Amino acid sequence: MRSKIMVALLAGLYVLSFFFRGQDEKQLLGDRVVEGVFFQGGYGMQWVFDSAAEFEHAHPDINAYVWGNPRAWDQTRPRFLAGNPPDVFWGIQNINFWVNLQDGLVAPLDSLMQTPAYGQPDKTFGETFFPGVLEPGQFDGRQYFLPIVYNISGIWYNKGMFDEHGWQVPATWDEFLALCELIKQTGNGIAPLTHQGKYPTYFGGIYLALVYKLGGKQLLNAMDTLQPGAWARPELIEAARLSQQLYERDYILSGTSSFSHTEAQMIWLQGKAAMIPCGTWLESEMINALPDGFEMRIMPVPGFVDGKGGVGAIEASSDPAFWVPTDAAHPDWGMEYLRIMLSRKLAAGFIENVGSVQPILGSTDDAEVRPATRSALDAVQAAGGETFNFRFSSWYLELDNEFDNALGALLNHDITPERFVERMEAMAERLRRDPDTLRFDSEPEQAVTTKAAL
Amino acid sequence: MKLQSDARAGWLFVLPALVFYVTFLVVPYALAFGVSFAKWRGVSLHLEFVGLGNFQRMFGDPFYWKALYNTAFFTVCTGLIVPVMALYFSVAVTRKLVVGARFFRITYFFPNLISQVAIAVLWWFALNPEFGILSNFLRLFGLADLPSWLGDPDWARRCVVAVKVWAAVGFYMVLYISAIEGIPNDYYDAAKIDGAGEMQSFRHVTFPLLSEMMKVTVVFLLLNGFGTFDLVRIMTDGGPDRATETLATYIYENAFELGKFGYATTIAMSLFIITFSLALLSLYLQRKEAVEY
Amino acid sequence: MRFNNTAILDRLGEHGRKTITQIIFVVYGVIVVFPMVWLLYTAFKPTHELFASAWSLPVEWKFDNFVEAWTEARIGDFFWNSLFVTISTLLVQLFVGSMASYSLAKYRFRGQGIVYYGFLAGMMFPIFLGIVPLFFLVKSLGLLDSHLGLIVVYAAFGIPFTVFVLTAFFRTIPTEIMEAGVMDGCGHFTLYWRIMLPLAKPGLTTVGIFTFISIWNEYILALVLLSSSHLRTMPLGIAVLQFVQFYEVDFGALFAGLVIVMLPTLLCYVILQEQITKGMTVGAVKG
Repeated sequence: MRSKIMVALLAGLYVLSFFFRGQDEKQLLGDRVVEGVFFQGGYGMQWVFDSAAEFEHAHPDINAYVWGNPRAWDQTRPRFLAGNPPDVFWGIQNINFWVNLQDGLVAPLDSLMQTPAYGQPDKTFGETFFPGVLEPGQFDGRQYFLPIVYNISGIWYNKGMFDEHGWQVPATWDEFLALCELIKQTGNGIAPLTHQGKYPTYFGGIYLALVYKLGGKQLLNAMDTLQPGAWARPELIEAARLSQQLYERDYILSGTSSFSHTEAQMIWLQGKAAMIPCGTWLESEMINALPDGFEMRIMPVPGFVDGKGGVGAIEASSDPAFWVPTDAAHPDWGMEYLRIMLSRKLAAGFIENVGSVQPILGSTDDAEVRPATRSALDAVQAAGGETFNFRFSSWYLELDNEFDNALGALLNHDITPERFVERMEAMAERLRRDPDTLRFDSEPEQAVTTKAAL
Repeated sequence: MKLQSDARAGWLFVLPALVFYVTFLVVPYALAFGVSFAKWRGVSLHLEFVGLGNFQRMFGDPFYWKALYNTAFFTVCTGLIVPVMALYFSVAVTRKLVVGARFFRITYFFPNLISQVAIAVLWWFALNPEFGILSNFLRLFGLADLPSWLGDPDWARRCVVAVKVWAAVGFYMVLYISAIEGIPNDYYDAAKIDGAGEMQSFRHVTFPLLSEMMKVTVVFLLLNGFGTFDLVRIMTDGGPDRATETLATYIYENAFELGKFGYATTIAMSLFIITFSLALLSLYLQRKEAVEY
Repeated sequence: MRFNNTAILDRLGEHGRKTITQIIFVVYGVIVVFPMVWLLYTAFKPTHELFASAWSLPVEWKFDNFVEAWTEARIGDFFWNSLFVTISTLLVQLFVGSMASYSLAKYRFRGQGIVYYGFLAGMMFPIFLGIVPLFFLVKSLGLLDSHLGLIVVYAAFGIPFTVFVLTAFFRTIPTEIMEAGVMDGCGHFTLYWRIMLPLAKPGLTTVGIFTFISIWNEYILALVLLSSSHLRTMPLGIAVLQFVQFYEVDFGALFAGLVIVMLPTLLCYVILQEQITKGMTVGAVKG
């Protein structure tokens, strides 16, 4: 008897499921649709919806269907293979822009760059960008990728806590260590530093900054271009040693190694640690969890007076982000979408809503820049414009993965600094020998940010 | 009967299933043999045949061996622990050593009904060092300085085995109980007449009959274990530092993240060869032993 | 036969053994049930409460998380998708599989041995072996990113198990019944449809239940063959929800989503557990 009821129930539900199945919203919008798929993460999705609204305002006859997903590339890849990708795309994580380019998936944007800018007809679209931020997205002289933000990374500190205890922002690494010791001695359970342990790439910001400060631009170039031996240089071993030292001296909050990025950041907001490495997306990502009156400021990773890289140099990047798939249904609409999304008007909105800076000239003038972001821009100024950015994580996906894994193992004390560089050099070698790996032999000029731009 | 020898009808009945099966199982598997000898980015149908190149690469790939080791570790541990636990539970229940047997029979089976994805997410939470139930539970006893369960390579592996066992035991317990309940009472009576106590009748009557079933269990767990994907991908994503990477997750990474479809298929081939050999081996061993009365 | 009579456990006595066993059972019972119970009541808590105290019962029992999961996180859509895909697969698989099993069990024709063992062999191949070519095959058939594609693939993969169980089943049905049917004027198909199939109900139920559970919870094939978000099945939806939680720290919806995923199968089991266990016994004995 029971089973008869079950069967009837199932049959009923089955009939219902024909009607209640997920609807394809895109189809419901009709023929004239531009589709954008974006990484859904620290910046949220509001800025995407804002640009969609602006697009529809500018083009009332076209519908903008935009959506986001944390694993945008994973989830959308089959569509690329099937030949019906979206019209404009942004994905991070496991995406290899350059391989996609090799495979012919990416449309060149040259025509877009020459078009007058949206809202600024006297300039071309290309001219509205900060100097130097377009190069990372170019290949063989053509523009393929556009950046989303001008990101500044360093160590964020709890300003309120620093003021309360009279702690000074360190300039050199020795001062940094002294500060950590001071914080540790303060005793009320506050740890000097925490980081997003589960994702070693965050701590990687500190590690690579140390490497740059020790070895300078020349070492950075060598590492990025996979010069033999570059990844085994003593500077890397020293930086690894210094990284492990933070654990040995008990400067890192216990439990850190298992924190996801949001957990670590949440814990930092709760005052259990004084400092955390991150980029300028931090405030926006944690906006819902900010305690009242919490003030955050950024400092560059402290450097070495006798190092080859500037003591106050700070990591700043405009990595490739947006692109238009070649096989898109409406690539021209996709490009138009980008023209609007990266316009001065929307960039100003981005700063106000998201907090981070888009590399569009004048946007910082038009918008109210938050104190946290302002501190980042100030840091760049203070560094005299000396910024650095490692490109290998964009160019060599497998090297980047191995870097994350090995760094995690290093921080866990599972491997020694020597073994760490051994692994990295081994992977570099593997890529050097692999005829299928696309090689980048020269470094584009670093994104230069002048005072005028900021 | 004439009906039964109507070959045409026979074939017609079989045809739809055959079409489905051949199209979606046989053809892909057959193609896989070919693809494993090629490099293929999947963007077009252009394959570059490299002979044994992929296999060479595989043998020299430390990540492959790590994934293989992990997979074997998970599979063997699970394959040994689950039958033993299921045996214990089933015997205890059938020997009426516990109160509330029916409750346990029902609840122990729950994990088998839930998606591996859901199990993975559930335990991902429960094993969180900050607010997961395991850590908080141990802290109640005053234990401090607990390991970061899924953040430590060794502990992560142990946790994966533990969760796999948790998800599997119930099913086998119920299966064994059915089997034990199927043993005729005469055997037990005969043993009692010969003066056997509890333990002895278990050892000499129950166990030999169950051992057949346990062997099947081990084989089944071995064959299935090598395909572990869902759990690992969601709970640890192969980490930390590939400590819980399995062959299946590595295949997926190569195919759908790195775009190396040819190489991924080669690894899948090796997976197939391993499971196939195990299956053959177990068939052979089973043939040699048969429980006789 | 000789028996060794120094077993320690015998000495410990019936009572002692029972207590230890009881304790072990209860402990393991807690290990099995508590995480799910914890999940259930935590789903009623807002996210910040979860971070504050992991264990405690909710201050207020709110349905907000469930509503959010069902609508915003679209778990509702995924529920219906899963239901649609699972039952459709069942119908196709049972129909096609039972026809084949009936024929293999009751008819005699050349080559049926190869067909039978060919079907069974499918159970020995790991899904992962064929997944890459399968993806491109499905793509070339135009079935990628569609429920239909998923259904036919699931049905195909389910055939070996179906044939395995049902062939044995059909074999146990006496030929006399078939003869009686023929005498009543049944043709091939009528005989199958009206007489043999109803008799195979227990076998169909067994296969049906196993298949339902495995398709409802299936992840990897759905992951590879579907890409549009509106088509996702529940395991896929949960996985994506988990990824989203990495960034948006809204665990409440994820927990609620998990409860929604788990509850149907658990409830069905509790209600129908006798049939299910019986079905498993049938499978065990016949297999």
